[in-house]
Amino acid sequence: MSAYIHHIATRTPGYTYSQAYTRDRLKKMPRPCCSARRRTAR
Amino acid sequence: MLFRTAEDGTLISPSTGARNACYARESRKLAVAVARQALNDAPGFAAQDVTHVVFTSCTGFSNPGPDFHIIRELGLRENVQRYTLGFMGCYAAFPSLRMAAQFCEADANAVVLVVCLELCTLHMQVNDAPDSILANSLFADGAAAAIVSARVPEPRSAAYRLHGFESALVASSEQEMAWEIGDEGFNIVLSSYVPDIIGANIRALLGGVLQRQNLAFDKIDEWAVHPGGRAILDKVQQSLALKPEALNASRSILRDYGNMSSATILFVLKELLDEAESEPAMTCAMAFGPGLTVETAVLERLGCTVPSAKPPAMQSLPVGVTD
Repeated sequence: MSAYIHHIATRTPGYTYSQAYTRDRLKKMPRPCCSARRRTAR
Repeated sequence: MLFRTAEDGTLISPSTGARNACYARESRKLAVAVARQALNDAPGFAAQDVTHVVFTSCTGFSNPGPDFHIIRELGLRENVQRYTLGFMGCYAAFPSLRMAAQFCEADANAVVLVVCLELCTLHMQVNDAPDSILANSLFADGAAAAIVSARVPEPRSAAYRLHGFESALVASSEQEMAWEIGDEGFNIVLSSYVPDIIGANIRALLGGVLQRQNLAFDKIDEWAVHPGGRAILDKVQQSLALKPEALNASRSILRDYGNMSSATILFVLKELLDEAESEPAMTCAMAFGPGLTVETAVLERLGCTVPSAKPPAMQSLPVGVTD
């Protein structure tokens, strides 16, 4: 195979709301139970 | 502002339509910006050189979509071939790069712009379930663009030669991870066994891949592992008996940016390029997703590079606020 990746550019939109929201929620919550067999999230 | 607070202080969960409308608006700006950045920074490539655009995303849909807007706003030729790989998940950069490589094999003059863009946080779930907290904490937004062509890079330039790709499905793991469309955003099904399953299978899967590339395990100099989460990196490191520093790039991207689904592995590959020393290095890249699907690629990092500016790490502004 004679193909090359010549350049990679990366960018973020400058916001990541869910992390900040989650940190805030965690501060207010008791420690969560993580025993669930199946995780369904988001 | 997409996420609003009710009078009682709780967060109102937006509909999927509202979230996707935000995706259509924000993805356009981000896709055009990252594609422009790639073309501006790639030595010897101009917008008019691009023959193909491969756009990849699993966090929203719009048509005309980001691929269309890249062509119009960057002044690419209107006969550029456009392809969208949608809803595949975290491993989708690999089929995108493989498709680009196949275009280059078929046409020596092909110049392929690959764009992976994900706005995962649009699908934040507004509840206190531990699984939601985990996913909300892990997933993030980001985009990456790669210029792929058959042109031989200039000596000592920072580039990867693509040696080969391989897809694999892990037996009896279909129920462990899924990505579905709900009424209040897209929903991920993520079993807590995923890291264990990956850890238990990765060595055998990788052995076959390397054998077909005529490569011994100890000939791999660098590892680019999709940081789906810390437990996945720990399991891969343990199963492959890698030194802790072998996954520094993956851990660094997870720490600084989070899991940006399909864009993440390109962040990792760029991190390795930016930190490269003069010697070329065989690189093994891998990512995981629904199925369970394991995608791998063997690349050869060429030469050295001058470090480029990184995008800013995570900030805490609400989704929907324009930058």
